[in-house]
Amino acid sequence: MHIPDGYLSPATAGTMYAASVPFWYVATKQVRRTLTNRTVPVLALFAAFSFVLMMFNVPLPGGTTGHAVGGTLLAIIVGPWAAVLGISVVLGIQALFFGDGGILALGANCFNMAIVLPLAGYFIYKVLAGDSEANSSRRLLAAVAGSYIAINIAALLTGIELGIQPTLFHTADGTPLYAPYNMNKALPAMMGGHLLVAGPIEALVTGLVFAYLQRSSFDLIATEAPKKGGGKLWLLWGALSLVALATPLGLLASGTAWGEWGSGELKDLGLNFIPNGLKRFEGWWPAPIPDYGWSRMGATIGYLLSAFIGIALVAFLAWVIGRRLIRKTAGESAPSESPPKMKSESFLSKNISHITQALESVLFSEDLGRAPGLLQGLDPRVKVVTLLLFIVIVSLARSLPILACIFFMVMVLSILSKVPLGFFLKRVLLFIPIFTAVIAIPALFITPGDALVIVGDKVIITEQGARTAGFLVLRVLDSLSLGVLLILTTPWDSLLRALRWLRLPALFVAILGMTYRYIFLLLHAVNNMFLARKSRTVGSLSGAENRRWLARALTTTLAKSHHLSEEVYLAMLSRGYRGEVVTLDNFSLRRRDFFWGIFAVVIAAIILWRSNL
Amino acid sequence: MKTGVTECIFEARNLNYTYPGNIKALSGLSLTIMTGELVALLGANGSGKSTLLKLLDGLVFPSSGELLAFGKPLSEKALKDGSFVMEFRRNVGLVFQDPDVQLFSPTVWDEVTFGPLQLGIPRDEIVGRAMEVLELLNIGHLRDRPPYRLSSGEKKKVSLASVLSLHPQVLLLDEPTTGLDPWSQGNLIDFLMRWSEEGKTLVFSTQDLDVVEEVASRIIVLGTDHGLVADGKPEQFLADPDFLLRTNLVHEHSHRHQELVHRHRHFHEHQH
Repeated sequence: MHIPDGYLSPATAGTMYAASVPFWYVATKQVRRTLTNRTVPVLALFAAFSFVLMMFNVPLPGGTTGHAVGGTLLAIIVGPWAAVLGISVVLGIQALFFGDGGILALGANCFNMAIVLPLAGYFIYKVLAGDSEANSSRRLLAAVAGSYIAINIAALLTGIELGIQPTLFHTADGTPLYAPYNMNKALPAMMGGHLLVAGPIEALVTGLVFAYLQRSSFDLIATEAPKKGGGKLWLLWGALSLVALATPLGLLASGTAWGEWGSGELKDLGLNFIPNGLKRFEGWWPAPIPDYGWSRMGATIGYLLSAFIGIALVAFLAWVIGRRLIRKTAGESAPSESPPKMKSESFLSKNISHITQALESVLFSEDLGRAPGLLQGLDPRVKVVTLLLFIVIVSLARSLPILACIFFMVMVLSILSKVPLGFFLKRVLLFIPIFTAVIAIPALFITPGDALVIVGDKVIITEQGARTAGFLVLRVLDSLSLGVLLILTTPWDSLLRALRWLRLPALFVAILGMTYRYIFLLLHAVNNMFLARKSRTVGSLSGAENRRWLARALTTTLAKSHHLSEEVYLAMLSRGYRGEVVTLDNFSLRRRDFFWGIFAVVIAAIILWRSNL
Repeated sequence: MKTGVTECIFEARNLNYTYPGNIKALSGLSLTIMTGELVALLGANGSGKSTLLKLLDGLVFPSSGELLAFGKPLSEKALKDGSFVMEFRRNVGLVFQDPDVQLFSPTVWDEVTFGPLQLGIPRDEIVGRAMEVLELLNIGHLRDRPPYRLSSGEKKKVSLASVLSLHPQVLLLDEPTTGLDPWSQGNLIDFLMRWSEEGKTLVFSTQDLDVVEEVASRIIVLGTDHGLVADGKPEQFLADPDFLLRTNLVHEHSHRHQELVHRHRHFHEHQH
């Protein structure tokens, strides 16, 4: 659900930042009121925990794996507003260090996953849990349902943000400038995956950890004094049906977008357009993965089906978790079930290598940041501002050759900064641009426009289709490589200083810094847990056993984070911390900073001037 | 809050501390710590040493009983007073047992300057102090390192540096030598002894009786019932095998061969 840069227009990205700011403001106020001086350590440690949570590969029944966001879980444990700030910090770190989500798109990603998700999840949880006991299965069910619904609401928002792009932002000849698929394709693509895969994972992780917390003595699930007229169980089913029914509404609403370049219009252009050729696919619904809504009717059915399968899955999960919970409290041992076997070896190794890789890559980046080189020698403020300027320019530029030139320029800069090109390209190209290229392929064929490739008498690829695919891939590549270049040539502490100078609230920067620091500690601890487990495991374990172990590992990590946050707070207090972050920042601008600044502004101006001709 | 020669630094009367869930950490503790004393805090695991140090540092507050620091009550209310808390934090420093708790800043430099910055010490002076303590502990080369790139010995040193930059008069240390190799341990002991020669007060918890013998001018032993079982000169107690066994400070299978160990204090500079 992390939107990379290049998918959203600068206008959308800006709007989403603007939409997020009031929530951040309220969240900061709320959190400082409840946590007072503890704000920084508590948020930092729980953010570090949710970062770790997002890195875990969870084995799903059926043998696949995926990872959770944990937004609802965090909201239940630390409160919704603290979760808003915590997950925002995590998304910021992911965008900066792992290119997971764009820097311009961070506003949108935070709005979807760090604001709407925890708030919605918490609200649903509260309503459904009502005044039930802390260790009741109803509360567990509420957490599971809340997390499932909330992640789907977030996915819906993401789909909408992506879906409005081609309608609102295209060139005069109809080439979409950013995400090329409109509502009736973006929504099913987003919702299908989340109703069926990501949603159940989120629900599973939330349910497992929550159930574990209920049974253990950790006093982390806050229950308020029983209130009269609390939620009712039917609300659960009401809310679930609402999600199932409301999602296709997005489809209906997008009817106009579809009509905008419907087949009639295209026939007027004298083109025998692809959708005609694709009509034969119409009978194919429900497809296993409802990705591209070729026909509205088919998409609607696909939607409903996805929704109901997903909900059935979640209901089943809730039932299984609940049953196990009851059995455990009754003191019985679980009889061996026969869930789909999956190799524990691969599951453990996958997690271990995943975590180790992340740690190593960050450590290597850090060495590069302190090594001599062109960009390393610049003042971090100048570097942050100019590289951000380039990222904005990339999102504004409307010329493919210029976007290609920018990528070339970034490569030259990375060579001049003595960043090994192979490492740089691997870091940039792997995953997100490849993923984007795959996403862009259908756009070649389905974007209406002038013929580019004709097979027989049919237009296969349109000029507009080729260009929109090019825009998407190049923009993603450019922004990502600029972000990677920044992080590879700037030590983390310098970056934090620069962010403070850019007027990011000191509280936020302090949380960001501390989160990053404790992510390492928690990841090392988790890696040790995995290794210890591996050393004691012979043969393969069932998926269920792995899941149970994972729940224990996550809960232990959660308890560790909680304990650490309290101790760190005392350690800060001991050295005079009183809730205000005081920092020592000294920068010194040198001549090269001015030269670089002038160079960057000139380049940016030239790009803007040339690309809008 | 000037610390005279024989001034009383901490006075505790009948201190009790109970953690949430009715878990007892300290019960009925009374003691007085004077300026210039080198106090070793002994006791089995879970006897309340860390809690006592946190109480003395004004981080947690007694459930009942009275605690005075520099003649003034050390209570939650008293520490709300801005000038008192600033003065107290400048004078008393605590080095936590787990350096990962103590090192929360992005780099060593940020860590060492954290305390002085929060306490409003002038910026020029902060830079001077930070350089000085890094020099003093021979860790100048670690300046720009993030905490996760330090060895455990280096972490311990940086923890100490981060507190020493406050120029405290009273240093509280929670198991400072635990996890250090013998060479680093020796270095640390030398350093602490040199540091305390200037009339400063040292209270440290430890499990290591050799360290006690080398450093402490007084020992305080907490029992498994979380109360005071001994308070006095180290020689008085360390020679008494029955006492050591009773307080879980030694195991009956381990003997102390005092007569076989040749010890000497080494005050030379370490330039490694």
